[in-house]
Amino acid sequence: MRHILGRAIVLSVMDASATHDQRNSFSFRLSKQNFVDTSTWEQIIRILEESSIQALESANPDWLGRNFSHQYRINERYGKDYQLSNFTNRRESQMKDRIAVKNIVLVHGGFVDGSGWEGVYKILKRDGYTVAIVQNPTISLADDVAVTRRTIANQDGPVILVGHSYGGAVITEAGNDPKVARLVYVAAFAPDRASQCLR
Amino acid sequence: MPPILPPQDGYLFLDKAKFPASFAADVEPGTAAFMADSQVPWGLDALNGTISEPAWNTKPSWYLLTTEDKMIPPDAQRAMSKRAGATVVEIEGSHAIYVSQPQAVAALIETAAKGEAAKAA
Repeated sequence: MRHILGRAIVLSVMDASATHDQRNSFSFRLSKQNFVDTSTWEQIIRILEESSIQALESANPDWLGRNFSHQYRINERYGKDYQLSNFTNRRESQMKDRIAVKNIVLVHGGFVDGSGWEGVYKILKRDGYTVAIVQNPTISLADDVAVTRRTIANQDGPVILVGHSYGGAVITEAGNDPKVARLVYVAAFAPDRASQCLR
Repeated sequence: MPPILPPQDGYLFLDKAKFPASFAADVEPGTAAFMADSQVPWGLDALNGTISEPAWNTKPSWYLLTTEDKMIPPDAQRAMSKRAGATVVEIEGSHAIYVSQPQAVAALIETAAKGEAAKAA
């Protein structure tokens, strides 16, 4: 049981809470977060369903990752050896860094448009990634961040956000979006807090 | 210094004649000329936009550093990537590395996507 749940947490990096109910069995709720992609979530649910964990309720999937949660109860004999400490934030964070991400969002820099990414795009597509190229207008940083976040919102799970040149400033701000798992800078600006490209 | 012309109505362009050498020295000449002639005007409000909280403070980061870059000097890239705590890969190439060596750019992106530590180039 510990192994099954441990694997679920490893795969999911989810936010989970657990409580003992009045009958002294152990119940917990798993919530799909924005950074858990749909296939990962389905895998977790399958593992739980294949085990003897009793489902109390389950909601319909929300593809945007909201209101998508399942509640389970584990009988006392299983629940006793299960430790709440498995849900610590630190462990979730470590696991999150190891999860493979399939969505790539590319942000171009100044003086150019998104078409320059074609060569990179073709390689990533060949290798099975989902790739989106942001056509950021480069009129203002705030606008480019908004345009980029709209593309991030359209992805079905966690995102690798890539910026070239001035696009590095865009991803430095837009990368705060919870769906962005990691950042890749390509010959790019990476400004500091309250700073601009050229300081 | 990059051959950026004085702003017109709040927008910047690179000197077309100097674009290939400064931005895309290792790109095929015909493609570099096309890039120079199809430039997108870069707004001063974009260049001068201010970051609130840098995402590199909270998200793992990777950085492809171009050692022959005439737009963002390699030393500036080195300083920024170090400050960001990024995993850095240095590569000999121009600012337009994503056009001239797409396989190297894609390789670093895939390293990040797999959640692996970067291997030295």
